[in-house]
Order: sequence, then structure tokens, then C-alpha cells
Amino acid sequence: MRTPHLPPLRGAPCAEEDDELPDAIDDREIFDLIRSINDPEHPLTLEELNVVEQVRVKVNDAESTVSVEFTPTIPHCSMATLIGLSIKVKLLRSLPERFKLDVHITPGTHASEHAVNKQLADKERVAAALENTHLLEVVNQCLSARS
Amino acid sequence: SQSQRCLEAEPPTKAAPLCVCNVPAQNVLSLITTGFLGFLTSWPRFCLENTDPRTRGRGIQLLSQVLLQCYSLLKEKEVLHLVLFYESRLQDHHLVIPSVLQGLRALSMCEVLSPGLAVSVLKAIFQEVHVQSLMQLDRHTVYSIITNFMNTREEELKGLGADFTFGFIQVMDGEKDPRNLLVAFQIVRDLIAKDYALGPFVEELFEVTSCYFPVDFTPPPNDPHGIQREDLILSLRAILASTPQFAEFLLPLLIEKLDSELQSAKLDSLQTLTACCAIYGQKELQEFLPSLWSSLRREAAAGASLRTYHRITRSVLPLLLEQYTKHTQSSQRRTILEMLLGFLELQQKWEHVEEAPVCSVVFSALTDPSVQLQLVGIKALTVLGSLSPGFAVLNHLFTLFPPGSEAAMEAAGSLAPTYPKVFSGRMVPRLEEELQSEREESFDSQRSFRQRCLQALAAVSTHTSIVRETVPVLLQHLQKVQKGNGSAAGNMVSACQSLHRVALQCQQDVEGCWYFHQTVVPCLLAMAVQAAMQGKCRTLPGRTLLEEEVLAAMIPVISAATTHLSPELAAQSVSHVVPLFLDGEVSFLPQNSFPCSFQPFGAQRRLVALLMAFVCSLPRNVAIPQQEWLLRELLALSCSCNCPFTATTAAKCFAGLVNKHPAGQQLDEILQLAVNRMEPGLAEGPHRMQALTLLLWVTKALVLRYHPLSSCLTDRLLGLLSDMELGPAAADGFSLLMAESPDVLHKGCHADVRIMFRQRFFTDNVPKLVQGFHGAGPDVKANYLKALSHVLNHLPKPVLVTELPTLLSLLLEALSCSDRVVQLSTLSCLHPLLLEAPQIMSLHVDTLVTKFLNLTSSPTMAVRIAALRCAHALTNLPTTVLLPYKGRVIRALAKPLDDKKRLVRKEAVAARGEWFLLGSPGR
Repeated sequence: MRTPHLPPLRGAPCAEEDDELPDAIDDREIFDLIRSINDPEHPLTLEELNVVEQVRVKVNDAESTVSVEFTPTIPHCSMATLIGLSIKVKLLRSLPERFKLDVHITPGTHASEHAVNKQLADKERVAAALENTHLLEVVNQCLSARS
Repeated sequence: SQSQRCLEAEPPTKAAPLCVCNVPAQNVLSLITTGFLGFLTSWPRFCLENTDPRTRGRGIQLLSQVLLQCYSLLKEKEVLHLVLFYESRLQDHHLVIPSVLQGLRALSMCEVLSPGLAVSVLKAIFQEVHVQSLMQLDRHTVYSIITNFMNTREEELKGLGADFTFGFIQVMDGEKDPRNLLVAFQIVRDLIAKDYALGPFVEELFEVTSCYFPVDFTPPPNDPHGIQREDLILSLRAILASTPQFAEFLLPLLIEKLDSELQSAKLDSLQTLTACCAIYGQKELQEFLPSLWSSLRREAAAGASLRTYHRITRSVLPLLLEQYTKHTQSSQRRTILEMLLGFLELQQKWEHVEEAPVCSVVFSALTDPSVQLQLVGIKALTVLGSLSPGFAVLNHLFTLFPPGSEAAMEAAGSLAPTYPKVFSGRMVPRLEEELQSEREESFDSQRSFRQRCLQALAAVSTHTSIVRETVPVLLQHLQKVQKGNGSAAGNMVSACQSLHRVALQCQQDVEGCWYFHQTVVPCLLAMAVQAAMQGKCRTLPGRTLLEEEVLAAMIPVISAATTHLSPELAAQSVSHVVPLFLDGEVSFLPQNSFPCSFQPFGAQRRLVALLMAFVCSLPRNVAIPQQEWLLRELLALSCSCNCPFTATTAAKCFAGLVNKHPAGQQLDEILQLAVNRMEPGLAEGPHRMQALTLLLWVTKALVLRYHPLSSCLTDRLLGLLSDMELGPAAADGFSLLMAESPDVLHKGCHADVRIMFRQRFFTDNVPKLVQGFHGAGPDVKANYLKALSHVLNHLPKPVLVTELPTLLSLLLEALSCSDRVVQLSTLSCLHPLLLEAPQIMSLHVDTLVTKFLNLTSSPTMAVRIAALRCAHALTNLPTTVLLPYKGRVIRALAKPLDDKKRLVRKEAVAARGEWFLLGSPGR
């Protein structure tokens, strides 16, 4: 297992405290949303497993687009779809509706990269997956704050 | 082909073999070398197959001796046959075995040995021979065979894998002869050095060698073999220290032997440990370090093997330093630093260790964001300081002083009392010099550098003798800044903050406390008086000292210098300070030639702030001369001064004195006087606000001590809530009543404070506030809500929860109030209730959901955040109550997800995420 490096949490600089100054949604803010998602199999977060990294998060606030690449721990990781789904659901719940989300596997890091990406991009399939009580349960567990 | 042929040839004579047995080997050798190898074939029949084992043995012995002479001449095929023959003989009678082994030894030296034969020989020996029941010489032969093969057939032997190691372990297990041990140890060393597979037998291999540790051997007199004890020790040590794989077994053994009674055992252990440290990593040492330390500490204390101990430290420290640099995570670094610390603590003086790298590591720890690591860093720094008083460590402390590193300051502070001379003699002058130097840097960096020096001066002032050095430096700096030009207020404030810290550090020490008081208080007063006399013009540089910011920074200095004085010394001081303010008596001030007379309640009345700092901090039993006169002056100033700062300070000073004034007629008269002065002011005129401020502070003074007049004054205050002009300020005043004031009327300055005053105030006045609210006109309703929320906000949460049912409807109404202070304060009251009283709150879920969601679009960021936190806390209510609202809340919370402020979005994300999980599987 790779050693996790936790970057320090963002402090609240003066600009963030200022009532008037708007703060744009940036890469770091998106990363902060997904870094603490739990891995479905390990007692670790996606950040600790290096599944998600801030450099693989790209946001364009003005154009309302978000792109997140995630890296399965091994090329045959059977949880890749589930991890992608958790990231997608977390972003759907946490971001304004105007955003167009693109969650996909870091190119060349998974055997079934294209199949997984296709599933994650398909709105109807994502919706259908969340109708499945069992899947929803696992996703919710990934998104729950660890006690 | 020659040998093949010979072996197959017929024996020349029948009698020959018998003769051969009696012929000296040398003669046989000459026969063989001249081509008579054919005679070998007659051996089986006459000697080698003889039924008497002794005869067989002699036969084989002869053959072996021959081979030992001529092994180099043998052909590959011959060797093959001989090996097969000898191997089979290993199963023979035990009397025969020594000769068989001799033969095998000869064959093991053959260069033409076919591949596979070495392994085959060894397997046969391992399987058939119980080596340790043989004689010394024969055992030696076995070791020689093994050594020979290891020298020439390494690859083949390695093909055996761990079986080879295991076989050898069985061979040497129980060996007692020093000559044999030297050979066996060499074999073990080669096993490890040449990387033979140890497989699962690491511990066995360790056991079979470490059982000789520490070596206990005295050579016999007239020792014929020339083996010294030292030979064995070194040879064994070379094995034990040859691989980190042994660490887990060896370290406990060393610790055990370090504690041994035998001096030689201790020494051997320490030296072995030194050898180990050269190759062991942090991983191997880590687990055993604590017990190693304690053993080493005993050793070092005993002084018995100090030299060896130093040798160990010298090898361990660089290792640890290297490990520290290699690991980047705080937790790992902490472990390593703790180990380093353990070794440092063993040092009695700074020797054998290079300072710079140790210091860098310690400072890197001090600047680490991890508090845990910082703490270990501080401890290490303290140890470093004790090892190297003053010299390099202090230089490092200074050069590496991380800007604003509280940890380094603390470290310096904790070191200072132990080495006061070093600090007052070296560090303080150095800091003073730096403080005075003009640097060619930007204004900001120079300022932050000075600030660091000021902070450092305060931090090291933890010993009376150092305080006597630092206080004059700080005061001089303050004076210099006052004389200088430009915007110096910030610089003065920094100096005052440092003085304040020094004052706090002196409080527990009677002598230091009095020194500080005597030195600092008159000096600050003199500077202030000087500044106040420089005329009215605010822009004059000398008047910077009178700025509100600077005066406010001087208050805690004087207060902290006064609170801990003994009554006698306080009385001495009060006899100077009060006449200064009442009579303008300046003679006790250090520079007392002023251009004009001091008029403390006239032209220079701003300085009442300093009077307050002093007089309100005195112990309660210190009599204040001419107190009544003083109180009248303060009263007059508070009600008439146009400057809010001065008027408020006078009111606070009056209140502070009244709070401590003994009950009785005199106090009642003073209070009556105050009411008489206040009432007309409150009624009308230009000083209504000042009158209200006085009312607030006097009310506070009396509420704190449960004075009977307090309810009367509180009622007056409640009445003012419906005043159009003063109402909002009166409402805010309830916060002042309930909160702890920083400079007067708190326990630290000996005020009379009853612990339950807040609850009592709540019980007495909240019903009146509720009643007043219902009766109030729409314009002023908010004032009542605000006053109420201030009272509730300062109430201990458990009390709040029990009082809740009577107030909840009012709080819910307060949520609709447009005043954001009321909104914020109400939300912060409701938040703990949602967590702690979910059942009661459930009854109002509909109102709560609606109001919270409304407030998430407040124009004030703080309100939006508080509302979202409450919306989040709502999820603590029973799920069945919440489910009907789930869809609505989730939809409504989509909007703050796009709030312009990041802090608001963060709360929205948390709240919305939690609502999504409500009633959903996997929550």
C-alpha cells in the first residue's frame, strides 16, 4: 500500500471570512468533497489509498464543468465501478445543479476502463443503480462520516 | 579411461592386499603414482569387505590416507566411483566412520568433482552421521568437508536451499571444542555473508551460535592450539552482528546480558551492540530501544564502560538522524525523534556528537504542523540545552527561531530557569542588539523580526535574574519607539504584550513581582504623563502612546503587575499612584520634570485608563486613600466626558471600586450619588449614552456581588429597552452584563463575583423580558429578543436545556426577527437544543425547517452558516419526524450549494449530505 500524504486542510484566510468577496469553486474545494469518501473494502479513505488526488481534479466554475479522474488500486479492481459511483453521487449531492460532471478512470490504470467509464457517464444507468437498495446502501456507507 | 580400465582389471596377486595393509602409505603412494592403481579393485574383497569392522576400518583408513596424498591426480570418473563408495560406507560401523570422513575430505578437495556430487556427499553426511558423537578431530573433518565445498561449489550448495542451513545447524549443534568452533563460526559467517538461504531457520541458526554468548573460555595452561578467548569473541560477534535478521533475537539477549553481574559479559554485550548498530536499521532497533536505554543508562551512570557506551551513541545517532530525514510523516518523525531523545538523555555532556544536524532535526520538529511532534521537539531542545549550555544550541535557537513559533518560545522559556546565567549573559544581550540594529530590509520583515525579538525576550523571562535583564530592554525599546517617528502604535503594542507576558510569568515569585511592579508601573505612568503633556495635537509623535490601542495594551501590563502584590507592598504603591491622579503628585515618577502640572481629571484625563488598570486590580483588603473623593471624580468624568473611551473607562473604574467596596452606609451613599448623577443624564441631554454606560457597569458591579440595589438598576435597564434611542444599546448591554470582562470585574483582579450570578440573573429577569416582549410595540420588540438571546447565550447549556420549554416559542419567534444579531444569537441557542433535546424540538419541526431554510438566504454570511448548521443538526431528530420534509429540504439546500462564499457551501454540503442519508439504507 502506498503511504498516504494528507495535505493540511485549507485554513480560512481573510478573504473567505469577508462577507462580500465571492470565492470561486476551485480544484481544491472539489477535492475536499471527495477526499474523505470511504473505500468500500478498506477502512481507509480514497485519498489515503491514492485513488483520488488533487492534481486529477479539474473544475471550471465559469463553464460549470467538473472532471475527476480516479485511479483504482489495482488494474483488476472489482470495486472500480462502485468507487466511481460513490464519487459521482457525492458530487451530485454536493455541487450546484448547473455543473456537468465527468467522473472517469485515470487512463491506462484499469483493465475495463472503457466499460466502467461508459457506465459512469450514463445518467440513466447511474439513476438505475441508485434504485438498487443494496448498491445504494454501499454507496451511502462510503459517503457516511466515519465515527 | 585409464582408471576405468584399472578398476575393472584383475588383481595381480591374492596375497598382495594383506601385505598392503601393513605397508606404509608412502610406499603405496609410490605404487599408485607409478600406475598401479589397478590394485584398488582387490580392496573390496580383502579389506573393505572384511567382517571385522576394525580390519575394514584399517583398510578404509589406508585408502583415505592415499587419497589425501593424491586427490589432485584423480580423474573425474575415479572420483565419482570413490564418492559413491564412500557415501555407502557412511552407513557402516561407527569405528569405520572416521576413516570414511577422511576419505571424503580428500575427495572434497578434488577439482574434478562432478556436478551434484558435493550436494550428494553433504546430504549423506547430514543424514547418516551424528556428528556431535564423534571425536573432536572427526568433527573437525566434517567442518572441513563443508568448508571445502562452500569454497568451490557455492552455487550447487545454494541449490539445496534452506536444507543446507538446516543440515549444518544439526551438525554444529552442541559443539564444544574451541578449535572446531572457530571453523564452525566461519561457516556461519559465510552462510550469511554469501547469502545462503536461511529459510525458516533464522532463529535456529541464531540459537546454535548465540548459545556461546558471552564467550566463556579460558585457554588451558601451555595451550598447544594457540586459541585465545578474544579470537572466539570476535568470531562470534562477527556472526551476531552480521545480519539485521538476528536483531529481534539478539537485542533481548544483549539487554539481558547488559544487566549481568559479570563485567566481561557487559563489555562484550556493549561491544556487540556497537557492531550491530553499524548494520541494524531503525526498524530493528525501535522495539528494543526503551529497554536498551534503561540498560545503557545504568551502564553510563556506573561509568564502568563509558567509552563503549559513547561508541554506541556515536553509531546510533547518525543512524537516527538519517532516518529522520528519510521519513516525512509527522508520526514517523516523532517516533524517531523520541528515540534520538532517549540517546541524548544518556549523554552527560556534549561529546562525540555533531551539533548542527541534531539541532536541525529538533528545529524541524519544532516547526512541524503536528503538535505532537512539536512537543517532542521541545523536550529534545530542553535536553540539548542542558547538554550544551549556551553555546551552539543557543546560537541555533536564535538563528533558526521560526517566525511565530510558539513551540520554540516555550522551549526557550522552559530552558531559561535552568540556565539563567546563560540566558541573561548571552541570549538577552544578543536579542537587545538585534532589536536595536537597523536592518536593510523591507518595513514588514523588519517589523516582524522586531516582534520576534520582543516575543523572545518575554519568553525567556522565566527567572528573576533574567527578568531583571529583559524588563529594562523592553522599557528602553518602548521609550525609543515613543521618541521615534512614524506609525509606531503597533510596535508599542507588541512591546506591551511582551511586558504583559513577563508580568504573568513573574506573578508567582514575590521578589520578581515586586521588582516588575516597581520598575514598570512608574515608568509606564511617567511615559504616559509625558505624552499627555505634549499638547493637544494628536499627530505629534510623542502622543502615539495615548492612542486607544496603546493605552488598552498597557492596561493588562499594569493590572498583571498589581494583582499578585502582597497587601503591604500594594499599600506602598497605592500611596504613590492615587495621589498622582488626585493631586498631580509626580515626584515618585522616574523622570519627574514636566513642563506643566499634571491634571489627571482635567486636560490629561485619558490616563484614567491607567488608573483603572492599577486601582481595580488591587487585592480587596488594600485600603485606597481618599477613596470617596476618587469615586466622585470618576463619577463626574463618566457622566460628562465627550470622549466615549474616557467616559467608559471612568465608568468601569467606578464600577470596579464599587464592586469591592465593603457593604454599609458609605457604599449606599456612593450608590445613591451615582443614581442621582445617572438619572438626569438618562432622561435627556447630550450624554445619554454615557449615562447608560455608567448604568450598565454599575449594574454589573452589583449583580456580580448580589447587591440588593442590583434588581432596581436591572429594572431600570429593562425599562430602557423600549426607549427608541437607547433601546438597542441597552439590549446589547445585556451581553456586557453576562460576559466576563477582560480588564475589570473578574475574579483575577479580586472582584466580588458569585459563581451562580448568571443563573440568578436568568431566573430573576427572563420572565420580565418575556413579559416586556409581549407588551412592547413593534419597533422595539427586537430589543427584548436581543437582550434575551444575550442572556441565554451566556447560560450554561444544561441550564438552558432545562429552561427550554418556557422559552421555545419566544425563540422561534426570534428567528423571524430581522435583526441579524438576534438571528445569530437565537440560532446558536437552538443548535445545542437540537442535539440535546430532540424530542422537545420535534414538536416544532415544521417551524424549524421553514425558518432555518429561510435564513439560509440571509445577506449575512454568519447567519447563513449558522442556519445551515442548524439544518444539519435537525437530522438528529427522529427520522420519522423528518422524512416528510426530506425532499423539500434537499431541494432547498441545493441553492446554498452555489453560495458565493466557500464557508457557506461547506456547511450546505455537510447538511445536504446528511439529509440525503436520512431513511436511506446504509446510513
